[in-house]
Amino acid sequence: MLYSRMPDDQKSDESLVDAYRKGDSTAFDVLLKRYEVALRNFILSFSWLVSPDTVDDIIQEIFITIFNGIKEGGDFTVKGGGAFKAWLYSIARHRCLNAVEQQPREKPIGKHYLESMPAKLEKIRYYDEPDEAAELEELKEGLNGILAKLSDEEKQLLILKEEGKTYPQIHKIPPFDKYSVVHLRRMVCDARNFVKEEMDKWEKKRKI
Amino acid sequence: MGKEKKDLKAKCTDFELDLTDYVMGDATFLTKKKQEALFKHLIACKECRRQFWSWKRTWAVMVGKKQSERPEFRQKMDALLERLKSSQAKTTTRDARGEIITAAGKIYNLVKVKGRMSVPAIRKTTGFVGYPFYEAVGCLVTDKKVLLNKDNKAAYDSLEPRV
Repeated sequence: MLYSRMPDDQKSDESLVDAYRKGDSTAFDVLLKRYEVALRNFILSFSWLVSPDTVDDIIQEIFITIFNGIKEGGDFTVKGGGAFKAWLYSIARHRCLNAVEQQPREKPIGKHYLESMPAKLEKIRYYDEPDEAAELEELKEGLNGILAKLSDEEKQLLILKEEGKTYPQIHKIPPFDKYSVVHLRRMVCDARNFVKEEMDKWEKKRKI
Repeated sequence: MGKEKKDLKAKCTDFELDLTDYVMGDATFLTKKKQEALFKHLIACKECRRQFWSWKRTWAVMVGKKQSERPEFRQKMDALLERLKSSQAKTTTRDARGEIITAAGKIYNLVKVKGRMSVPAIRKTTGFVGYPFYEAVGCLVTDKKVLLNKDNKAAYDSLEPRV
């Protein structure tokens, strides 16, 4: 297939940037749609203390920075490709670190205050996981199939947790009102353990 | 396995629930003391740290998917694209204005040196064909920098600098 006839969503980031610079205004739409969810995952992996609206704002700021960078002709192309993504995530990382610094050190959730991770733990993270963005993107592939294997109750429970509901709040919602708060906590942990084990199996298979 | 390692391993299971809750952002059972103990353990235990980062990533993907499906997020991103496109259009307009001003400068300098010149002669000398020639001439006439002479009933027949 001729490269120019290739659908936009199959084109490389760098060729989309190039097309955008040459006047194809839809090329930036494709880049934005390609990375908007990945960026949110990246930001959330830094901190859960930021609200969805704040994450929206951070994503918009990152895209404005990228847009201005492209417009001003910023040269981020390096041999081997993938340079756009590295540029995008370096901006995102910088912005996330600022957001983490600005956020309150603790937030009342449920009965107690949830504390921010200590700086020492944040520092170790970079040694443990030098390329977190790449791991996040790979994770998306495996996760959907694994979540489908959970029981209906577990799925529903995790959805309520994703919405930010605490255990006492979930305890008021049927069918979970039949379980104690302590039991709900155990159910969530078991679901997490199941996801973890399945993810480990999936990763092993992927590496073979 | 040394005693210290054994103790650490035994402790790992004790932190299972707290680790899960902390990543999911629920402090119902997490007192300040419990969170401090969890951080201390994570700093010391590489295996729990691996699980902690892994769960943090998994949870980010799950919550991220949910948040991205909010209609208000789609609206915000569409509005952003519109805003960026209009800012791009403004830049283009600014660039076009720059081109016209540059062309006007060239034309004005030419007729200032050569005096009255026919339009075809100006176009031939400057190399301007169509845009931005007429736009530039329009600016020069409006700004009263040149006189427009309608020779032989043809518009823009010749230009001469205004004294």
